[in-house]
Amino acid sequence: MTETPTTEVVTPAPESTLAADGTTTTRRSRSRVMRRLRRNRGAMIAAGFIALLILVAALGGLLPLPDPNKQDLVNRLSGPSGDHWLGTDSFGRDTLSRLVAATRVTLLAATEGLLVAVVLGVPLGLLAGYVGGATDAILSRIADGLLSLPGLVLALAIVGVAGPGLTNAMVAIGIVFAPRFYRVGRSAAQSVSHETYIEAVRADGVPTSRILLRHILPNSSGPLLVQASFAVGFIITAEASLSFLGLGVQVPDASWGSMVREGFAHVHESTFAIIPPAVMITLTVFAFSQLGDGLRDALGRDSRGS
Amino acid sequence: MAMKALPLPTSPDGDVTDAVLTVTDLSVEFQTEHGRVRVLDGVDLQVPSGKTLGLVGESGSGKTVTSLAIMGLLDRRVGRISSGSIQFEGQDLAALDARQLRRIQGAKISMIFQEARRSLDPVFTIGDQIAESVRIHEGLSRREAWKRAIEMLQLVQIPDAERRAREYPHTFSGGMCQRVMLASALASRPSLLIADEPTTALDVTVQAQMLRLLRTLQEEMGLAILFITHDLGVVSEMCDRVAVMYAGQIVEEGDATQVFGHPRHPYTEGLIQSLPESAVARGRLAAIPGSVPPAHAWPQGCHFADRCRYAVDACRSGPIPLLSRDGSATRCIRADELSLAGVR
Repeated sequence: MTETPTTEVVTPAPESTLAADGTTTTRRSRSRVMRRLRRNRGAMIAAGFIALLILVAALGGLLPLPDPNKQDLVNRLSGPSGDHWLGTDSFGRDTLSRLVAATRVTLLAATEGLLVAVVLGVPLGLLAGYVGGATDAILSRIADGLLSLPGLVLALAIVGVAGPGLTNAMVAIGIVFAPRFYRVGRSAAQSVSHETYIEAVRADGVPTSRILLRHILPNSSGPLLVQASFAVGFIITAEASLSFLGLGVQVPDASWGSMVREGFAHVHESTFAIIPPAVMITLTVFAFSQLGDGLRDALGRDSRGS
Repeated sequence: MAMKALPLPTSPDGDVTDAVLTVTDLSVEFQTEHGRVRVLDGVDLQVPSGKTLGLVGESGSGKTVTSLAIMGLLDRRVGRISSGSIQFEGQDLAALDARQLRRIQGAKISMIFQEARRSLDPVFTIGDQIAESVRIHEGLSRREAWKRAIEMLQLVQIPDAERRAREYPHTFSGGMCQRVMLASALASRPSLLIADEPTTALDVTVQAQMLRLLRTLQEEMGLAILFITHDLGVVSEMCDRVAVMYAGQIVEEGDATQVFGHPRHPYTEGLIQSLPESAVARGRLAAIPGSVPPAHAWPQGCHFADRCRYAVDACRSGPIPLLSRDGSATRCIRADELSLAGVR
């Protein structure tokens, strides 16, 4: 036996000795991944920060803050004060309120972009990796073609055709990121499809669609999860870039990117307004890549089960 | 142990109603860097209903390709069946498309593999994996399929089946995994089981239990088994008939006791003599010199000639047919003049 002989039977049947340690080790691999992740302090801080962001995005409306769109033209571009902890912008709107509102917009936009990228990239990647042949060749050439274009330029082109707006921008960013998910999905599916258990389900007459969904996808989920975590960071940056250029979120709504744009427009009058949204972008992108790193390390060789 | 001699696949007028599976003149070609290479060369096989046919040979002789071809699992990108038929329950499997094959795979013909642990999907519970097959093939509800899974686990003598069904493969030992595979393979009550070296990775005591279980279930279910192995000891224990494979061809076929007692092909003799058990009697372990040549380098004449100590010029002059006599067959032109040593 080359496998870990944790429960190998040497005594004759009935092999009842096995039953003893069976229950405690169920889902051992999953809990091992979680345990490793919990030991990674950087990843845990990042996860905590992301959880906080999600909380703010969900419940920000309940905070005792001024209306993010209420203008106070007398107090424009003021620095931090007791009334306005993070100051006001060029219309005298409370920066903290806008930052909280923008958190929601930014996270929803990132989710939207991620969803588009995953829905486009993952199924095709799994299919190409599993089926191979001409399907793989054609899909991979398309993915390579998309990857060879500078991402932001491609997104600009798509938004240019579809018109500005947050949803259009996020669909464009999703298309830009889809080839990355395609590639990760494809290579994961390729290695999983050579596993004996895939051959075994094929020998069982299981249809291809079901093999992909029920066997290839769950066993490829590790690398895809890592990729998703990294991608969220990039997608937030991309959203900020498009919103900075005025192609993403439209006034009076705010995203972190559009707040940076407003701050940048008045940087000669006040240098402060640009800082809070820029810090949020930086911290969030850093948190997602830190979490991605942690996930990758924790999954390690376990990324496809025990 | 001695069975009645079965009609041979090589006689086309023979009565084949007794066979579950009849493979006739099966050839498979692979696309390789040496071009199109024939890896199976006119394979004839018959698996008698309710009985076991052992398929033996060295690594690279084509045993596994044969089983994959029967199951319709050849990778279509590299391999294809170039000629021959695979008759199973009135259908030619070689002529079916993927969709039609799926109705047979896992339902009428099941397969178990050498590495049972790796044959189980690590992200599903044991019960789910067994249930999946019956849900697909018999359209059972989730609850009925789960019930069947538990029954099957009990059938393969896994203690505490209801609780074990909820566990994941990594909590099972190698021997237990193989039982689970067997439970899964038999869940849809197939008439043929293809067992590709099912006991090779198990240690000896577990292996013996597994073989005993297999025989018991075979009798209960009237199952025909195509048992692929390179372990002659297992063959003599398990099989009623045996087919010896070498370099893509069947070189000898017959009743198991007959083939081992009185081999009629030098390769079979070589296999028997390379058993450590025979070395105990002889004092020295004999090995067949050389190794199986790669498929693109197979000779025109007898594929075994270059490693055969009985080879004469006539062996190399052209293709050697499978000659049958009295319910057994050999692909050796000198079979009648040689007196080859069997198992004593």
